[in-house]
Amino acid sequence: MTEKDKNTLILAVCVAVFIGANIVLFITGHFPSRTGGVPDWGQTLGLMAAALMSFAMFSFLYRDNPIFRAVENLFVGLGLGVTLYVMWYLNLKPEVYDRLISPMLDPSVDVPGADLVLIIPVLMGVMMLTRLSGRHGWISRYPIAFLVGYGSGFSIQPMIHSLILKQVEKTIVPVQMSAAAWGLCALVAVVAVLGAYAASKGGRLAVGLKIAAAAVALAYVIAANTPSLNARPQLAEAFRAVDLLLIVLGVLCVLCYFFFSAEHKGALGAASRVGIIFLMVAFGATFGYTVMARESLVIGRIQFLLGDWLGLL
Amino acid sequence: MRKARELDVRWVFLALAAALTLAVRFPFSQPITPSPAVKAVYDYIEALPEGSTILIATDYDPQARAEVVPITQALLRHAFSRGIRVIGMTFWPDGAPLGARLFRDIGDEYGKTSGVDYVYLGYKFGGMAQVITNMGESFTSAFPADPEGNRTATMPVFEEVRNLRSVDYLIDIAAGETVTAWVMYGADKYRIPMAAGCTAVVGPDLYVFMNTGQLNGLIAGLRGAADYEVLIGSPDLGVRGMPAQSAAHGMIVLFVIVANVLYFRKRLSLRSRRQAERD
Repeated sequence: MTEKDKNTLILAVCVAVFIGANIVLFITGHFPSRTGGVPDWGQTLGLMAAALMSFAMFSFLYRDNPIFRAVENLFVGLGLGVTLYVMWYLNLKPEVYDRLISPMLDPSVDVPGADLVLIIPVLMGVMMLTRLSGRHGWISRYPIAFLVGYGSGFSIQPMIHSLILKQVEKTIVPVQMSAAAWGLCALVAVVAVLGAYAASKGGRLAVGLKIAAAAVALAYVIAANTPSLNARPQLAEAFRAVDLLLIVLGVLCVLCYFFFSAEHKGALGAASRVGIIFLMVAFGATFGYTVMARESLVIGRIQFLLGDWLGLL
Repeated sequence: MRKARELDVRWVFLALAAALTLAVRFPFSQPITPSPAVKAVYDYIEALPEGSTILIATDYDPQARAEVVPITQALLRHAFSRGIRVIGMTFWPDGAPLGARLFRDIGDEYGKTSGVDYVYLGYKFGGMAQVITNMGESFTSAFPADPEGNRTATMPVFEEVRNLRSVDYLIDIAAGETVTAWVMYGADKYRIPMAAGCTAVVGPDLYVFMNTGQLNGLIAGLRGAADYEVLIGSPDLGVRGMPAQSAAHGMIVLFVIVANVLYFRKRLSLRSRRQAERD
């Protein structure tokens, strides 16, 4: 059997299983769906189409195929269609067409004076569209310049306040250092130094040090997130102190890593290597969350297929 | 051993799909302990007096529904059960119909009336900074009508709540980067306490706002939704998804361990072969 025949056979089996499953759903009375006791054919067809589309999208996991591409394009087209519909019916029609253009086209209706101001944004919008013309494209620079200038003026102050000053303010806060906090800090310092040393060396010793540093860091994270340990005020305060110091250490070391005006040697090199560890931890957390998000999306689809479509949940 | 190393990745997909399907169909019980970040949101809403108003922005589209719909449902159930008014809107045009349906369905579940106990204002174009600032001046001028065409100026819900300053709590449920704009132009500018719900992908980016207190709580991903459902005592999609998520985590960890064992065994055998050749 050739590869093409095999793929055709797999497709035929999948289609047959899908049709068979729907026939069984009709025979068992799950379909047609009912709304208020009345058969709802729109809902039924919607469920069947959604199930079919889901399988078509999952088919990419087997291999790229025309059905997947067709459904992918359909998805993009539908998304764009819904966006256009929403923009027209929720915004452009009630706020521009009904208030300005429709009265203008009807001589028996006067446009309210306050609505005449809408001419300015409409005109700027039309000027934007001149971008499509090679000859008149320069006209679009005026509304773009206006938007950039307005946007910058509007955003610079809140950006500095919310994204820089607030972050800096909470990075440098007073820390109360108890004996437990000093002990934990010493532990963190030892782990950081070992980590930096291991990162700079090769060989089995470095591998062992990396594993040891990772194990100690993991143990600290577990301890700091254990409710019974956090219930003890002294320990909770110590964890908080270490967290704050870690934030400061992380910020400084990551800044060192991104400081390219000097060669990364000596103290700067060691700090930048610790910075890499912080970056890796951050990337790891982001990657872990991303995996979790993708799992959730698959779970949502399986819940739909088993529950809404097959009625097994 | 070689066969295992050259295993077609599609078998891994199949194994994962089988594990997830089984876990969804035959869920096992597992303890769910709400995280402090989620509990903070619950505690804040719990402390709000009856008749308070919260604004929930449903800044997502149907692609992210598996994660964000359970969060929205849990928050709406909590708010409606406590007699809190909810104003909804979105900056994602293709998420507007989904948001409107969620507000209507959960509102009906609690016998609430649109325009009186809640209102979903839909999508507004024009840039987040401008729209949020407009809402800071007046809800009814920023949104003259709701998606059904009802004039907001005549709605009882806006008699007391005229603008963003009158809102007691701000929650952005996001599948993208809208939380930053809400923090900058909404929460910080008008000094409104704010929390966020989000997809798990967005979660790590928002912890910086938790550390500074710009967000007082965070509900991240399906796990966050499950935590909130446990807190309000109304287990639904989030809680039902947790066994499957645990099964998926277990499978992935197993695959990572097996792959690493195979990798290191291959390295060891290569090394010993080279050593033998040298000898």
